[in-house]
Amino acid sequence: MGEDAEVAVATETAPQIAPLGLGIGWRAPLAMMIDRREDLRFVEITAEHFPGSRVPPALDRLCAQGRTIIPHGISVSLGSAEGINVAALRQLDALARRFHSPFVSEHLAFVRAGGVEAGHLLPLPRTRAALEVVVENVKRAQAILTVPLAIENISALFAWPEAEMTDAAFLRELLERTGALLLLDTSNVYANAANMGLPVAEFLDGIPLERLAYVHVGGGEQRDGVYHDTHAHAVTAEALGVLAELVKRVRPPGVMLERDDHFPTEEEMSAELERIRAVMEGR
Amino acid sequence: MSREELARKQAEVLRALAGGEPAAAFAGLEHARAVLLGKRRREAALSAPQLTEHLGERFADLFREYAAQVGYPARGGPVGDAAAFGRWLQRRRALPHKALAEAARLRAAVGFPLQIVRVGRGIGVAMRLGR
Repeated sequence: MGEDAEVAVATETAPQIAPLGLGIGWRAPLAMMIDRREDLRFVEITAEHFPGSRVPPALDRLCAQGRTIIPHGISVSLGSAEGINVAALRQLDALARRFHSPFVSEHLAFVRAGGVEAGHLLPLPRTRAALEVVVENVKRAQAILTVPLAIENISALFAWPEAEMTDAAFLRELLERTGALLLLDTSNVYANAANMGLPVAEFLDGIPLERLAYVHVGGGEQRDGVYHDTHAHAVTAEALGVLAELVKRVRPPGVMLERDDHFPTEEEMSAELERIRAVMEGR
Repeated sequence: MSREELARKQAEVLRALAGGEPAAAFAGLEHARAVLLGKRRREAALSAPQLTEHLGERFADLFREYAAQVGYPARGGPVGDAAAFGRWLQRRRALPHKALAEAARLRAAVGFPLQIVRVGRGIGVAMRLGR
């Protein structure tokens, strides 16, 4: 952002969540850097990376230092019409209890159907019928969890026919009917804007930001006319622009960088974290 | 649309993504396949850092070849996928020596059987290639 840019920064945080600060997705190649940077006040861990909840000592150390650890799932499949993966959900909960996490997070997506695993997150049809299914699944998940659940928006890899609602309306009604928290992935918002023409401001104005728990920011690249949310490249200025739009509306309790591949030098990583911090703080 | 009908439609989409079957009602499935492969490769790489390091630039091409032949596992998530990739490499005698211990650990983590075997004067741990 330019030095002379005037930025309106909201002063009210989402009331339900204690401030988390600046954070990062914990990955083994980043462990030493995360250890050294005590200003990274929270880390998110992907539960499926630790089968049987066998976690490395580095995470216990971070917890002992008072840093917040957020367990994040990718296989519960909150959007599956066949029902959720209860074992995966119990693992999320076990990690939350081990690390005294304030909540856990998962996705508004499905990952399996008909005996086939997708391997990652797929969008739901934006219909009333699908909404009823995911509301029921989320309530079932909440009944099992001992901590609150935050739900993340995903990028639309493909389009279902016959949409009855906008993304924002679907997400809003899901969160309001279940009382779940919001994990806002700004890179996914940017990807949907770049690839499907979904206006950023309209989306942000349509979702319940008072339920915001924390924010993802990740890098990507434009390739063959499509923006790819790779988590393997620097965060583009355009993607950071979504975070800037967000902080005009609400002060996020926490913002974290997602980096999963082609890890840069510690200096480059630090510079990127400082860029994110600057936007968080409206500088 | 009932829950059962949504389940059928979700299964149809997954068959189209995994098996390359046509699904004319859905726009963007080719892009989705490419993105899913990238995410699958990324998660497997994170689960197997030694394998990633020792394969180096060959990781992406080998994983693409593996993923075209082997679907995402029903058990173990990304760790299970990395374990299956290691087994696939071993069958091709392409598993780097320095990644053997990690491959065994991944298989143990998702519950695949290991054997204690005599190797010269010592003992070692062997991976069973079959399930």
